[in-house]
Amino acid sequence: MLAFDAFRMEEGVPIYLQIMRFVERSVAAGTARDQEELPSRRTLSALLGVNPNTVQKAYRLLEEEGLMESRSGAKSVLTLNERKVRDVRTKLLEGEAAVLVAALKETGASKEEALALVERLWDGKGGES
Amino acid sequence: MYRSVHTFEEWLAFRLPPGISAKQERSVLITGLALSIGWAALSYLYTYTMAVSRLYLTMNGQRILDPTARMADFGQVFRFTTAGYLILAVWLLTRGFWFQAYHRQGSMSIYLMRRLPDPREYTRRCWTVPLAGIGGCLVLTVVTTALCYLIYVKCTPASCLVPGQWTRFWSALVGG
Amino acid sequence: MSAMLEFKQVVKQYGNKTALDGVNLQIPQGEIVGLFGENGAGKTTLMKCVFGFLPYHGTITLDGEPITPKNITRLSFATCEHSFFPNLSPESHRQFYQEHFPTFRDKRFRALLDFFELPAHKPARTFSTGQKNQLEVILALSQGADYILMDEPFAGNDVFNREDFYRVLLGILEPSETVLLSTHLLEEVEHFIGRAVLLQKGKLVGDVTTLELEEQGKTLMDFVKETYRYKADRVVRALKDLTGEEEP
Repeated sequence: MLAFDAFRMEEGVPIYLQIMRFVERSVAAGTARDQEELPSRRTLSALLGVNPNTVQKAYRLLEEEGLMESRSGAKSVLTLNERKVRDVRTKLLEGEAAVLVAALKETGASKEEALALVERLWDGKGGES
Repeated sequence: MYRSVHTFEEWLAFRLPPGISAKQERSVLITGLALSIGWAALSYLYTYTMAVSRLYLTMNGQRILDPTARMADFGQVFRFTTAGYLILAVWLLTRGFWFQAYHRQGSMSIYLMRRLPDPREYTRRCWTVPLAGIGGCLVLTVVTTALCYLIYVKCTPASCLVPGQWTRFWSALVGG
Repeated sequence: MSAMLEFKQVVKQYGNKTALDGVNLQIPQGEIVGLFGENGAGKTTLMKCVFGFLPYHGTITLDGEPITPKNITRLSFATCEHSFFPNLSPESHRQFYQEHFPTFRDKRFRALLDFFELPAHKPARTFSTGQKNQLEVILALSQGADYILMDEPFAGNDVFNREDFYRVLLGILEPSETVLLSTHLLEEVEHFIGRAVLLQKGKLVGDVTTLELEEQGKTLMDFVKETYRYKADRVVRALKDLTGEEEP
């Protein structure tokens, strides 16, 4: 069963999106496996303290993305394969990177400065916090 | 809806507002009735014997009937005999209203009672005991009156009885 | 007829004061609806009209039928005024409810009583305000009603208790159960409810689903403020009543 213990609610972002991101991140990180069960809509709604419609929407969109399938009863399982995991990882990475690039551009950094910064941080040589 | 009712108390509890002690209500009712009956008996005994004794004169240490004496009207003798029942009836009436007010004290349990599938439950619990009690007082009043009248008519020396007592009593009751 | 609680042109007047001014509202089965508005907006009046506690004009129907003793048990009520019996213990209440409400959910009642650690055999009058609120809500939830109406049920409970409640509710409510919750705790119930209905001076001035709000990137507070501003009313006073805060 996919655990949502690490889920933290954020302000300003629709909750159904946050739920989707959480599942996608788990998929990308490899902590969620194929055929792993997801909590039922009601259980997750109670766990997170959010209306079932929100969970319903998140699950529905995940199903549309092909990451999830509803089985009989209230069960839902992840339906993953290598390609899907890769796609999710890419999508997330691109998403995060896009945010970073936008932020860097806003601070007026040039492309060279940005790349140098990334290299420095990657190698753990410290940087501005 | 099966209720197992084994005692009068249980039966009563279903006809009182929830949380009102059936034991207590039963005690108060029984005490009230006992006192009223006791009062009726004692007060009539007193006024009647007093009235009868006024028919007698003491001459040479002997009690003899005064031929000119007339027995006081039944109405006079009987006057306050049934006062106990009246007081009890008034008490029961106020109890009924108090039961209604009970549903608005400490909480608004009236909202619960008025949501029940049996719309008469609330009325039943507030007014069964008061109305039954008042009915009982009425019956006792009638019975007591009849009994006292019987005593009046049978035990008073016939020569001292003023005729038409019942009519007088009745018209005084209805008119007064 | 689909399962629905429907208000049609509901009007309630006290002399020349209008408490409800032509309210039209449909609540289908399964929704968790928040009912908001300043004090005196008509929230309590609306709920009381449902049960016939107050006479009113217009119609209120349950699945197309007027509300009578035949179907009234499909509705339950939790009020901040409390409708339990102060002299009775939770256990005695259980017996009373079981006797009068054929759909009473015994298991749920016991589970909720345990969860909130309420003493089963002490009379309700000995409870703290918070515990009383809990008992009131537990009874409303355990009646076995399809429509659970709650009027400011958490007045006096601390925030931890309330958070617990929302979660428990979300866990136990079945898809056929509907909740109409009137409260002034906007931020708290924002995620719990699926739909927000806003009353102002007896009129319905706003009706939106929380998913719609999320799509628009608005918080419930934004929505309320906007609606009030749009209705050109005395915003500061209205908001002060609504949230107990000063307008920044």
